[in-house]
Amino acid sequence: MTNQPSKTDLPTWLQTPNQPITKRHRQPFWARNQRHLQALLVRLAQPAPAIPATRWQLAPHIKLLRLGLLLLLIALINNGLFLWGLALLLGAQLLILAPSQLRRFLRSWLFSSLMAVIIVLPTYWLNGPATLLWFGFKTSLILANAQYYRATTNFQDLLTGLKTLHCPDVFIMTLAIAITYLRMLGNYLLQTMEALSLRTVAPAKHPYRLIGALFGNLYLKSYTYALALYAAMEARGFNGHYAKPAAKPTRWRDYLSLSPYVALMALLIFWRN
Amino acid sequence: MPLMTLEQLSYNYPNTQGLDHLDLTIQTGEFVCLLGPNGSGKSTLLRILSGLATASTGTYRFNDQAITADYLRDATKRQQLHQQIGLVFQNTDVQLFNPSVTEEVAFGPRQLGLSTAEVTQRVTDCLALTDCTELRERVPYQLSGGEKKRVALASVLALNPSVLLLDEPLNGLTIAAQQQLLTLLSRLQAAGKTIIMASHNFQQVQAVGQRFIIFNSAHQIDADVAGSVLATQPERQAQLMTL
Repeated sequence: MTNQPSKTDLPTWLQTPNQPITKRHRQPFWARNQRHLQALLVRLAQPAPAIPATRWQLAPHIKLLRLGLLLLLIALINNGLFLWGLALLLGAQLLILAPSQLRRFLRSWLFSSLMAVIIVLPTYWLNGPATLLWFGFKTSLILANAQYYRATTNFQDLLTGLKTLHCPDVFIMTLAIAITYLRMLGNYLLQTMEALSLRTVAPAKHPYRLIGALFGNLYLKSYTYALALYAAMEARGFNGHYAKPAAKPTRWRDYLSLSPYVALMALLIFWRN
Repeated sequence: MPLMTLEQLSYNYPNTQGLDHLDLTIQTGEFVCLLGPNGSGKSTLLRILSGLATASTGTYRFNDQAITADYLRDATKRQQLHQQIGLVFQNTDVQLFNPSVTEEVAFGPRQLGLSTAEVTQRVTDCLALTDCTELRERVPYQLSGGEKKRVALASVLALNPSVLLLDEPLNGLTIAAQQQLLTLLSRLQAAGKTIIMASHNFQQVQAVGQRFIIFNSAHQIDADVAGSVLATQPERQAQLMTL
């Protein structure tokens, strides 16, 4: 290769038109699945969808309490009629969701329920279809309530609810940082993978070495970011306590929304006794 | 035949619009500056031109080949495209993943199957061109922001792409380093490369751009002006200074 300076003072190879090299090859496992991992990271990098404010918005801690009560009830109740009643209550709540929220709810609920059923599918051969159906119904009801909470509550409301219910500051702070941090690291990994794919101009000889470099880099970045984040928090007066934003007052309708579940819980306890 | 053609191209992010019905033609050897306020779609356009994203509607053709999601799904075709188009990210931090600067710059040429001597030559040349020779044994992770930008450019140049896309490459560089980079880009253009550079600072790119594509905050092209024409329009220049 000649490397004589030319009129532009650039090396000769840089002035020669690029002739793309074609190398047909079998894609390794990593390359085949890189697209799926990128799609997942793209989803993670998206900002959480806005939750429209409704007239009947409940206080964050009441929503959290209601979810806890519901999950407990569904786990404890073995009466199909009661469970059916809880499903009807949820169905009535779904009626007032905005179409976009309802679509998101249905998509995530169906997907998570399907996953749960696939995991417990072996019980069909071990205990028969009745157990599988019962478990499937209860699990999908739990998941539906959890997804309903997710569809109607933003992250800040969750933190406010936890704070109002006197959760430890350390727990709330850890949760808040972990969620924000995960998004940030996911976005970083996504961009690095894109940069890698732009410069992967031929089959990589050692694809797993690349994965090592990628995740090593991610570790270093997360470590530096953690230190910088803590320094920034301290510089802004962080003293180890999570400051609660102004909480919404608890009103009669908040308590009213809890009443069916409290009544059902009482019924369950007295019926058993 | 134009090098790149965009026809009624739109791009939508899940909750917002990225680009709105762009029509654009870029010829081989042009030095194009994309100007516009933050969030106007300059980076999104660079992502589409490089093949990192595909249009939601409309078409993008490179060398008369439609670049679609199906086209990019084929690894061989995608890699061919990436050999011809190099992109320097706005956040160059994410672009450097090798344990040393030398390894970083050698990453692309090695994959092309070049001999060790050729790879070494390319690394030496690219580091010299970007004034990074003294950084060759350093760990990219520990470099400063400006140094990372220069190493990222060197690592893209080492592939000898015919099109160089640069997303805000002058941010974080000293005035001297900015001048050095702009001179290098002009030399690359003189050597036949097509340069497309996004910037929100008209002052920085005024001297080198041959063509200025100005975006508005509605993610559309507001104006597409030749540098020579823009030089005769002081009012527009004053408007661009305030971007």
